[in-house]
Amino acid sequence: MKKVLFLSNMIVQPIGKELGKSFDVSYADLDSFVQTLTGETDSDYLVMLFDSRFFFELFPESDSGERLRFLGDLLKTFREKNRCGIVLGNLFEIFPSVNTTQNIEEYIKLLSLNREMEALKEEISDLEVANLFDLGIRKGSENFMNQNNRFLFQSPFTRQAAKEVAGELARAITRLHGKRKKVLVLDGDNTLWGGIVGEDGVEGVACDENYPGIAYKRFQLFLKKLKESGIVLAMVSKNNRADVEELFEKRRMPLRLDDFVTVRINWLPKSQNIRSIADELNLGLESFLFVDDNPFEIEEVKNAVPQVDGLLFDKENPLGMIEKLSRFPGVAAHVVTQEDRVKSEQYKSEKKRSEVFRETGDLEAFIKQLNIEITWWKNNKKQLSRITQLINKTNQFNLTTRRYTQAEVEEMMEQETVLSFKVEDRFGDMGIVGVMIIKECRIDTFLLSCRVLGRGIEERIIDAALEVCGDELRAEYIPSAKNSQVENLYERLGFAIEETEPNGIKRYRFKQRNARREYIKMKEGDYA
Amino acid sequence: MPDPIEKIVLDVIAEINEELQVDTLKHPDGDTKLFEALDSMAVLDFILGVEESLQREYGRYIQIANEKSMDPESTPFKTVESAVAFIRERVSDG
Repeated sequence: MKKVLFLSNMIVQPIGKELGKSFDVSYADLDSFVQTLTGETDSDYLVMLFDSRFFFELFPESDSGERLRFLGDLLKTFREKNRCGIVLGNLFEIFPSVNTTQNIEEYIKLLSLNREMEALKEEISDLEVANLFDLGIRKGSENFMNQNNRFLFQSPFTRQAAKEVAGELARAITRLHGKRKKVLVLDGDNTLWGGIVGEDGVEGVACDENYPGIAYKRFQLFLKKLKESGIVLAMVSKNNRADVEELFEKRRMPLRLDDFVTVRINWLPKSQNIRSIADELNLGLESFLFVDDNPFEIEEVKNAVPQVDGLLFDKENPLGMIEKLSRFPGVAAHVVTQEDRVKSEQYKSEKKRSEVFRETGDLEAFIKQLNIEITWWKNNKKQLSRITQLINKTNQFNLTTRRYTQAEVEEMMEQETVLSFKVEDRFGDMGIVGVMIIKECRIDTFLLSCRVLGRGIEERIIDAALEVCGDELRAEYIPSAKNSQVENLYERLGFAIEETEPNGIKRYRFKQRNARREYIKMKEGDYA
Repeated sequence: MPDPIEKIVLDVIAEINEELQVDTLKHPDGDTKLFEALDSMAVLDFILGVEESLQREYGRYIQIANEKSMDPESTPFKTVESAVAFIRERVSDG
């Protein structure tokens, strides 16, 4: 069990008791912020929860923003000595105010603090914020906080709230270190819109300003937000294609047909369509989440492709679906990188590349006309989030499958060499798609996003490593369930095997540069 | 028909004793010494548990904690019987 250390100015044992069902929980002394944050811990997660009095009442001489900055500085000190994940609970409060203006001012102050807490994610690696403010609003302050117990026992949360807070803390931990879904496969009828387009007609289905249409409209707006955060949308619908196309054409809905990276509108089993989408996008089925209102379809997919998670769309309560979906494991994001924002466009560019390849027929001619340009950086901390994201999600083109937290990557940037690679071509910018970590001239980690495979990029990337280490360069391959495609990569790149272990691990030393595609341009990036 | 308040108290004791495993709380009756069998966290658990059950039963929040809750001399939770009597009073006070 992973270890969680609570640090708070409240009695948080009722919350810890709930979280203790999945974690090994311990508690730092009450209010021991300075002592704990300047020390070391062997816990996997530090969870910090505050009674907002810490900011608003207990230190009237100091500004609340200053208190938070003081805490931020302590957390930076803590981060230098500790690698554990950090979860901060943001603030919730009910303000006694003499009028609305004063009340709103108090909330603005509270929300500014919550925003500053959120900004700490940019400054301190592996830090996530648990949104207790949102939870308190949803549950209602009277169900959430008990003022008597707050002042009598320093235990402000009701018992029900303690369970909810523990749930949100667990979700924050998942956002920090769990695997995020990549593809959301959506049914059409009674999921993206209310009703059945083939029966109710294009004008008869519900997705508008009135109930129940508003529920579907809001659901689509939320899907759009998910798309902008890096989860790509796909549609699998048992319908006549012309009906669905006409619907998207004639009705003004938040989502347009081209918001979906790919669609399957046919009468085939949905599991078969999902498999074909996975093949098309070159993504593992475990990164798929399937949403459908029909329990039969959920079951069919579950039986045929058990790696795919299913979520039943509750058509009796369509407005509740946003919360259900947003809380589904792997849906919310810890941070959203630039690559995430343009993910759908990247998959679409990839589709165009495949079409050009089919037309060209000849791989060499195809790669040549892509005008590929690789940009690389050494120890670029501005790319920490994306580099960590790639390290923790890349399975196929990953020579060692070593996973590192953001704090560990940051430490390696100070002591070792962490190279990052961006690839662009005439169809677009694919963003940071490759990472190589070199420790004492040994390639500890080498990975590439599967979107750029088969274009000779790996052959050029090795040049950057050679620039760092020269002929002293060594490497290794550690087999995993998913990386057999790179089993012989180093041989191809001009390395010679020094040792092969019985478990399949191979160790190499660089021997000679093999021929590579010099027309793939390569340059060191700008650090400004 | 068991007394609802007594039932709530006994159910909450049984629930927190699943973890505590205090012998004297395994088959509690009116004379069972409650407060001395619980540590301070367990007293807090007991209070939160009873308050939650009362809210469910009576549809409103009924506060049972006060400044005496944690005082060994004057706590109303010395025995199961005194706890039930105190809670009953709080319920009828509205």
